[in-house]
Amino acid sequence: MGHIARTWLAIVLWLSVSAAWADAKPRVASVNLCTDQLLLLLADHEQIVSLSYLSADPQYSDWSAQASAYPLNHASAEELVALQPDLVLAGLYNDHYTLNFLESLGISVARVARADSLGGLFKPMLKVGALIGQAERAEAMVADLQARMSQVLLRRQVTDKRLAILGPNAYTQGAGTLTDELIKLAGLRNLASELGKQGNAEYSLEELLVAQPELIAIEDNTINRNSLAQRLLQHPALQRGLSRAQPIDIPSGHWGCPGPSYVDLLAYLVGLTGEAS
Amino acid sequence: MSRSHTAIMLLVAFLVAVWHIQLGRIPVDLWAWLSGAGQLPEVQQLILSELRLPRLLLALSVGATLGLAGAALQGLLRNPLAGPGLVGVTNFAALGAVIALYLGLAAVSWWALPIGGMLGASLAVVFIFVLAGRSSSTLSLILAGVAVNALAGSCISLVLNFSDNPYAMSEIVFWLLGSLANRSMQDVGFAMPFMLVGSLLLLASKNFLDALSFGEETAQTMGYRVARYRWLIVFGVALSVGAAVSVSGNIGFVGLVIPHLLRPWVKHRPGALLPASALGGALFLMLADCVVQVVPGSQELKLGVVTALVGGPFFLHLIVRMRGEYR
Repeated sequence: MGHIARTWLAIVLWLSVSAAWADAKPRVASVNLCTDQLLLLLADHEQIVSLSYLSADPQYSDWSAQASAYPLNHASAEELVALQPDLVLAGLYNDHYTLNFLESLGISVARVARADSLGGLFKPMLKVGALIGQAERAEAMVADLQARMSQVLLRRQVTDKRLAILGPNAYTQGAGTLTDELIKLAGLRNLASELGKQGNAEYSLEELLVAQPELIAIEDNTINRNSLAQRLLQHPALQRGLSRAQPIDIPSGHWGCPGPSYVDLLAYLVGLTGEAS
Repeated sequence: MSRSHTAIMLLVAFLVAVWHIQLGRIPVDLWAWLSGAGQLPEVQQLILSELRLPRLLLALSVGATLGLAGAALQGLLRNPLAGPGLVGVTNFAALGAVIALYLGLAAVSWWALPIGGMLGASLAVVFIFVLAGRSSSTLSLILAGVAVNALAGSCISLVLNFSDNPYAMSEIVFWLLGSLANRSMQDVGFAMPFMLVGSLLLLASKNFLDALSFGEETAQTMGYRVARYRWLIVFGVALSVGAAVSVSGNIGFVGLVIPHLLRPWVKHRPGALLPASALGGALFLMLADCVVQVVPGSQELKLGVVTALVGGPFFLHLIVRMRGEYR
């Protein structure tokens, strides 16, 4: 065997071994917007079998351009069986029948809970990292995000501005929610929790008018606004009565899934503490 | 209705209205304001004029409309069970409004909402005439109503299902059970003119309904052109109920219960029942709208829940009493 032939053999062997190594990482499908995001951030390109259709919709995701490159699913058992993934990532509220069915076919299913507190903000990221064989990448990413968070908090200034977050149906987040923790961490006050609201709650228009918050974030980024819920946001009483509040604009993707984008959100909120009112 | 009855109802209605405008998350010192002792803070004035006043005006006018339409339909069909809800007029009005709102017509012009409601309501009245016929028996009227209601209900969820708005599906509760929470003066402005015109048309048929209670031929010999009056009432019901439902959703049983309760007070004259039912309906809906605001709960109760809790048992009672008729 000549020298050149031996080199070729070595190269071929090395390629097949590394291909086998890559194969060892599971091929993953995600059926939930938030696990889609984590999968995109952490997985190798070849690992991603499919993402949920919501990820390709710019109304709900900041990563729609990236996501459209992959096959999309509607979380139906048929689609997923046809894709033959090793692992399916789901949220807690995906259809149980579908997921149980997939498990009965031997496809492993991981149900990843949304982060619901600052302390647990990066837990889903670490969990998904471990599940898809990218634990090191996830740990590095979390360390980086935590460093960025501490950097951001250095810019925080003392203020007593109250922020009212107002979604369709006057929906908001009170005490005990991640949003509430984040607003307070940024140095702002959350009007909803100060009014005694717990968890996901609704403002009454009357209390909103009386409270006169300094900052108001209308959180509605859907394109189709033909509903009573969204019409409430145009109520003349709000438009006339809250004209002194400074309107702030937070893109919906930042709120959609707790995770890396919450560092940007924190930076945005911290930025508000520096502005003169 | 005797003068003392009218006076009692007006007095009670006034008291309920005062109670109604007091209700809300924020206490507003009405007395200080009325007695001229002090100017209200700007925010409280805004709450009164932009939130509580439209709600009170709509409770009054929607209640009056439903009561009046119920009395008119019962008089026209000479059938005590012919409320606008039972024969499917309110559900079809809701369907019209749903089509206008969720398919985006109302985004182009808000007039689309009451117009959708009125078109839906007229369709249902025509349906009922075709299905149950002119000399309708109670049974065939109710069965026609069941069919029309089922059709409207499923069409509403069909339209909401087709809408790609994320809130559409959850709003089916509003359209099927009704609410006056967070309505604005804009809503009053859109619906009130149509409710007024429709109600005036219905009141104009007062004498005709008295004559009709002696039978169609008698009414004819008394000089009434029956066909013309029939269209007048159909048009009046469609206009007033359609506009009402487009801002309040479908609030059931008002048009059935109120004329029934007041019939003895007007000595069973269908004509006199019209204004009495308008007053009674306004009173009843104001009261129901107070109840939904004081019942504790994480979310405000829908108005239709309260009116059905009163109306359902009442309806059963009616059926038991009229059982003889079906045999």
